[in-house]
Amino acid sequence: MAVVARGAVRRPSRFRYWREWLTAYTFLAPFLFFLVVFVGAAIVLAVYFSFTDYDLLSDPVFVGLKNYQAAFQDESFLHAVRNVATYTAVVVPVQTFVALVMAAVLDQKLPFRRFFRIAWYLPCVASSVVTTLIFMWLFLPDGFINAALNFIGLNVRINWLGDEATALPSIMFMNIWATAATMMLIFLAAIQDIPGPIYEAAHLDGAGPVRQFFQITIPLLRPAIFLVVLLGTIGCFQLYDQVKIATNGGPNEATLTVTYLLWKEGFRDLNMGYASALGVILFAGIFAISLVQRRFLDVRPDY
Amino acid sequence: MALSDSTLGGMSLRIRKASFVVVALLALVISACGGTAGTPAGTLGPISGDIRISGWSSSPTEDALLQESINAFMAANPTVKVKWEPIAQDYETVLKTNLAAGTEADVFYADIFWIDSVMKTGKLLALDDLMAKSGVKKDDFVPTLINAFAYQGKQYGIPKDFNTLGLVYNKDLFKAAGVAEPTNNWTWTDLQAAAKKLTTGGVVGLSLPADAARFVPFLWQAGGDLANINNAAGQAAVDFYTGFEAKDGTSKLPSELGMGWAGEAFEKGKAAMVFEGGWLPADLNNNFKNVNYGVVQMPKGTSAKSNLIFTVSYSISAKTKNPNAAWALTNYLTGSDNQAKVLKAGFALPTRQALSAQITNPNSKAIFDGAPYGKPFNYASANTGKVNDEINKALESVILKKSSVKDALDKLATTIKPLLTP
Repeated sequence: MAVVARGAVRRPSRFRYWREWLTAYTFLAPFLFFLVVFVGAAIVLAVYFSFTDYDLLSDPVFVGLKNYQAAFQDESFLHAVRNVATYTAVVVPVQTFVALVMAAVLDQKLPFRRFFRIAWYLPCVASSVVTTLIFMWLFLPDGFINAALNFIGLNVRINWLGDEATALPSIMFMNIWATAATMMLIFLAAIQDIPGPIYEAAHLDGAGPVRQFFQITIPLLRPAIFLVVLLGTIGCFQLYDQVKIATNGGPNEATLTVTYLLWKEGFRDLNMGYASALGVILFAGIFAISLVQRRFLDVRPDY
Repeated sequence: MALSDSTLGGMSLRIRKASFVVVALLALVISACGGTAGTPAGTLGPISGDIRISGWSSSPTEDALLQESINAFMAANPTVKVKWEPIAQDYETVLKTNLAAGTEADVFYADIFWIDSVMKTGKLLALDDLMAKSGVKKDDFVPTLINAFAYQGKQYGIPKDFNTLGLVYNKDLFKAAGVAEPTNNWTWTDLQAAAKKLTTGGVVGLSLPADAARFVPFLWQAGGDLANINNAAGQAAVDFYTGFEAKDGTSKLPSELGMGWAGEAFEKGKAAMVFEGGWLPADLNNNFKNVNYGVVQMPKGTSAKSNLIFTVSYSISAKTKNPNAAWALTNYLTGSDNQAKVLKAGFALPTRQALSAQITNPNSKAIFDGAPYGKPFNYASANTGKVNDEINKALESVILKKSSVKDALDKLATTIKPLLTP
């Protein structure tokens, strides 16, 4: 026994250590190469470009903080920030709540549980381009949604994506529909991780299913809730594809987002310096909000 | 990996043998390609080599037409191999990225609306010497068109074709509403009156987008100009353009009709009139054969007739390895024979003055006749795109009644001022 134990704790020799190191990095090399070149270098360059005027065709010219100053005086950028804030404030809570309810329902031993698991997850499998195109048809003035509303007696002809008042809410709806199921999956996994005996004890103490849900499930899901809220917030900040396809930021900038503006400035108008500055600001925003959320949602489970 | 001398020696012998074969083959290929030229174009001398040509692809029919022209060029010049490489989307961005990376094609389309930003970088080949060698004169082309591709006295592109805006109208809807068809002598008042009569049920009289590329001719028709956009003439123009929707309710933005662009609203019978170029008739002829349409010139404004000229050039990369062959191709594609062929197919209008007499189709004629009094779509040179963005925002805010004409224009005047003075 003693011999075996000593053998097991023996530190690897220097040679073996280096050999393992070499093996590990050899396997990692292809990935590391892409990480350093296409992510690391790109980030460093983007930060550098954010202090320059750069249009791709001529050499970058250093301009200091000009791009950052311009951003905070750019009405379109401020509009985009307001849009993203509104969008996040609505989408994250709704999507988290919907996902939690869906997960709680699927956790029950219901008939056709498997069918619902698949059906509810389907939106996540479809490409966002395809689902956006389908929603664009549904949202047309003569589309399905207005037809359905007319059918139940509301006589409306709303131009969902073309009207300033309804364009952003329509995109919110689209996105909640498309992403809630991914969040549901995280919740479902976390719910099933909660030890069964806790529920048994609660049951013996006389707690009903509703009380169990609010006093056991939700508190123990805090790490999962943090993850879902964080991922949801980052996703909201990066809203781009639906906007690009459905509204191009319109009407009257009602659906303009920071990432869409970044694309427009950088890749349509070739103001790479300004677009890089927007990217850096966006990164700072996401980073700051993640830190704040971490503060407020204690991520350690209680058991 | 260190190699011993003996292996190195053995290898180098093999390499030497192999490289001899390669050199021999290369020599064979080069002598087959170069040397004797096919048809010498003017005093340009022998031309040969591989040429890549790139542009956007407007429609399969137009692609086929271009490929046919390229094949004809290659048949006449067997020493030149031409490859057509269309760029599917975001042409300007892709081309500029390629120019930055040095991977652009030898010959490519350049749009009047952004070529200024490329001409000043020196990445385009000045064509003056090549033009002189081939006996091509600037006077052969419509002056507004050829001059749009000149920068500091040098020519950087040859206009391949052009378009202006015309009033495209649906004859059946006019008949149904009992309105007389428009003429080339229509005034703004005629347009307003017709739009009112044509707006019924699910059809609007007119679909005017919040788009500088449609609005600016109206500004000029009112006697206004961009530098003083908030003066009386500018206000009158914006008031007129936005009034169709904001006041009369006789126009709707394409997006409000659930359409991608005004032309689509016209094609689907949701709008009786739109202002578009020759691309709309071409699309109607190919895909909406049941729409009975006509085209007349834009109405006369309160001050004058005016129009906007859209044109695209063939330009050559300054880095091309075969400038003579690239020029020969450009010269062929913009030559009289090929342009006559393009005109016959009906997509766009020829840029050579001599061909104007061949335009007999009244719809094409209406678009062609916009050229003499039109101005090119590069009114703010390299900043045209940014100025357009600001104009679009101002128009949209007035059309959607978020702002008064005066407020929107005062704001617009301040934002575009630095963009108009380079």
